[in-house]
Amino acid sequence: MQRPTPGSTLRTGGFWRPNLTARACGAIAIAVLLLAVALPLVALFYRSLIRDGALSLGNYIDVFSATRNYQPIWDTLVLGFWSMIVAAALGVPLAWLVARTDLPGRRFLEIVCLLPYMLPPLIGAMAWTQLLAPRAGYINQLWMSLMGTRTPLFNIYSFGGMVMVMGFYTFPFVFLAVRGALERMNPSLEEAARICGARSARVARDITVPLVIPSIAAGMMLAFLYTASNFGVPALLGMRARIYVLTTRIYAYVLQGDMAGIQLATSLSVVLLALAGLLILGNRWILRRQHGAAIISGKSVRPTRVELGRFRYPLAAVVHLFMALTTMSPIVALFITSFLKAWGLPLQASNLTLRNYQYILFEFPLTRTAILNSLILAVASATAAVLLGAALAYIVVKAKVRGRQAVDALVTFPNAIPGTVLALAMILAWSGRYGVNLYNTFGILIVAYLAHYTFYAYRNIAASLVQVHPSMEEAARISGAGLFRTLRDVVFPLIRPGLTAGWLLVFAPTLRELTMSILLYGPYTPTIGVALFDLQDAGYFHIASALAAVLVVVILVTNMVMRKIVGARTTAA
Amino acid sequence: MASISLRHVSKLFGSVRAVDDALLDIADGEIICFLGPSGCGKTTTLRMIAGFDRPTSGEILIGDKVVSSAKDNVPPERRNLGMVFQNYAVWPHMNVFANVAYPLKLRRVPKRDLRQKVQHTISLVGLEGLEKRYPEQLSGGEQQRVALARSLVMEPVALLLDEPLSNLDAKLREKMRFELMDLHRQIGVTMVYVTHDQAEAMVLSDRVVVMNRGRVVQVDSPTAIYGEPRDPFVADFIGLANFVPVVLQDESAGQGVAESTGPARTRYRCRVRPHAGRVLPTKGTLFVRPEDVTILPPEEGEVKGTITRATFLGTRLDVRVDVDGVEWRADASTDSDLHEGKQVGLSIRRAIFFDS
Repeated sequence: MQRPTPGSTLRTGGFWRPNLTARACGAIAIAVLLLAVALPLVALFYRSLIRDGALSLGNYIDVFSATRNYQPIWDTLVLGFWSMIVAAALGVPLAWLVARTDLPGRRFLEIVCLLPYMLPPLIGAMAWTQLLAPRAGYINQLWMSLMGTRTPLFNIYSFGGMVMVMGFYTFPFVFLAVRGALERMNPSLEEAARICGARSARVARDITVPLVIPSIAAGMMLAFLYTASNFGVPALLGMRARIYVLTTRIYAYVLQGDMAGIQLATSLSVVLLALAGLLILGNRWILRRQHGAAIISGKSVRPTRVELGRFRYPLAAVVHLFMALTTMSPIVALFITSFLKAWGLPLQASNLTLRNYQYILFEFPLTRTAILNSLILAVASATAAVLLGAALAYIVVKAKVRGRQAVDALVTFPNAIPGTVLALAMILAWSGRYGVNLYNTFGILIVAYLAHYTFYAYRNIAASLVQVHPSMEEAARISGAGLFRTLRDVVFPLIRPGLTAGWLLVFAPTLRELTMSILLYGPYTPTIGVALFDLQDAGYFHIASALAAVLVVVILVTNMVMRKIVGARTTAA
Repeated sequence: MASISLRHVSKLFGSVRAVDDALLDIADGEIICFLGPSGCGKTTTLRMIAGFDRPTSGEILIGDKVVSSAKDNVPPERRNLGMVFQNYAVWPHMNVFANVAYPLKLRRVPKRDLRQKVQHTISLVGLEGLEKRYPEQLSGGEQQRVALARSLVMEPVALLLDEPLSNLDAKLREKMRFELMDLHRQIGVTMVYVTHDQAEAMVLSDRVVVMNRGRVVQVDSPTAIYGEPRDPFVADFIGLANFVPVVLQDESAGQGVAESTGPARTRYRCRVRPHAGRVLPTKGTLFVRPEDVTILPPEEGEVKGTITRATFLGTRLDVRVDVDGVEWRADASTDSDLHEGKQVGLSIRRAIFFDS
């Protein structure tokens, strides 16, 4: 063993040379990453530039010359824009109320605000459909019977409906960003303004708002990105009204099944990918150039809470009622429907049943297969993602190999790539063209899930690894433990919470994944997401609701376990 | 400019008495330091003067106007005070000029006046030429000066400073101390200064307010705080001291005789604070500063002892002497020939007796 250089600044645990096995593990992890991410994306770019066997920009010219191709681009932008506005309109005031006022029940409000973050928008779209479907929606029914009219209050199958549901499901991005900024902001920045003579409204205008604006913008960009990437909501609510966004248009082209369809889908995917890239780079740029000093906090870190005074209780009532209506009532509607004998029946004891649950869990082959498949896929993907994420995190954090920024980018960036784009890239790379055909198998789904979700495992494990000081490993090595012995006896026990959390963070979203699955599933590999979508789209609301209800319970339990492990503040799924 | 008075001010956080019955008059133009360990209530007291915290009972006056009481609280923005925060709190989205100009902008000072006053204050703290810079382009010391300029620009009735130098490195801290004193000499504003650094308090203040566990323990000039501490806490908190367990045998007119509890029953002459109801003999502690102990040949001096250790500290020798079973600390000059095991005599210039 080499002696460590005294006073060496390279305290990376890297004073010993990793042995062959260690190098092999690292090489395999990077190879998997290249095959799952880099190759499909290269294939996607390449295919978008090939026309009749030759390099050409013809596909892009087609895209921008037909209304049905460029209209979705425009609609994606408009939908993203308005959802982002709704997200900000909800997220900013709620974050302020929770972080900076004495509003009663703000802890509860905080949890309610994170609920949409945990549940997939697909379930939101289903639930809102049950409230606001033009004729049979619970709210519309109530409205029509109260008003004695035949025109519904609101038609969920519309652009407005999509904006509403996406807004409700993306506002947590803004909420979290702004709450974080408000809580991290050094209170003496605001106190200094008060002592200078500024009243609270003036302090807000001159100090608080300017310092929080970057966080608002960053959160809004994430909301935009999430909306542009979403498939479930525009598919359930938009396609019926013949409104297509990029994700649904790409889906329709792939479904078309011929070469021309694949060509157009590929080019549109590159457009969507470019949009996503712009948004995520914008988000990073804003966060990087945020004034550093605003985050440094001194000793008086109790945030100054605004006393709402006589508005305290009225405001609390309004806010809680609003949140109950927007986040709780759709879920309640979903559960109610799941107990109905058929969708549309009046709510009477005689119409209630548990048969839907019995049906989806024990009788109906589609849902039974889907549940089993999703469980297998989620467990397999989560396990693979933790192994891959751990190896990559070790390479980036501890081994500090050259080119680790590239490795980091290859794990991080795919999480921001719209699932539709990633799925199409998988089809192009892994359906036989390059010698391996995974199409219609679990394999292609797992590769896609890995590409998209390994980031969650990687990020958590890397964060735990950073906490393990190099001297911990060095102490084990100097005591005579080899590399693997050190990993097993010292590193592994110390990062176990990160590993568990990483596993759950991949398990939860893969269990309910729709966007990629709907493009990649085969006759024997339907998933829960696919089954939900098909049942809902075909109008079997009561059966779809039962399946969704089961899923909601599983997701909430997973999240609770996760919060226990990771601590209450960090959740994402 | 104005005086500040605390009248029986208490502050409770839940059931914790952060500040307990503080009574203090700060004269116009005076520099007062609140000194004490962390959690002693000094910052809370300052924040009550600023108006950020409201006293649970008692009142605070600025000039002759009650600004804080249990009933009524003038908000910070209407107290016309300047304040420098521990972490500077320089606004990162405004440049130096905008930071300093902000209080004047709020007071709707006309443009030309404002420019002139801001420039004057910026040069007062030595930041000329940096007006266009943003805080992230400034060093810690420069940010400190921006905070200072901002708190002085509108000619506040008093300047509050909350551990303003604690984030600076040692050299800069010492420099800033003297600059603050010069600044005070120029503008003469009342200064209320919170610190846990006794050297800072000693250098800067006209009077030091020592606080412990929410209570004001002693208010005195730096010399008196150091030389005549009122109780063992103050004696221990400020500077180094020997504490020797003794029994007071005799007292008259502020002088007394105390006897050590060791086998040799060494007797010391000491000062005794009058204390009603004291019955002699009574147990207590003798307090002696190391520099008040002189090391002499064994035949001279009031008490005899053996050196247990002599440590070279650069400018002086730190000598430990065993006297009657108690280890004493004494200062000696570096040229004296002192070594472990040597028999010596000690002469004690000043000792104070504290009742236990």
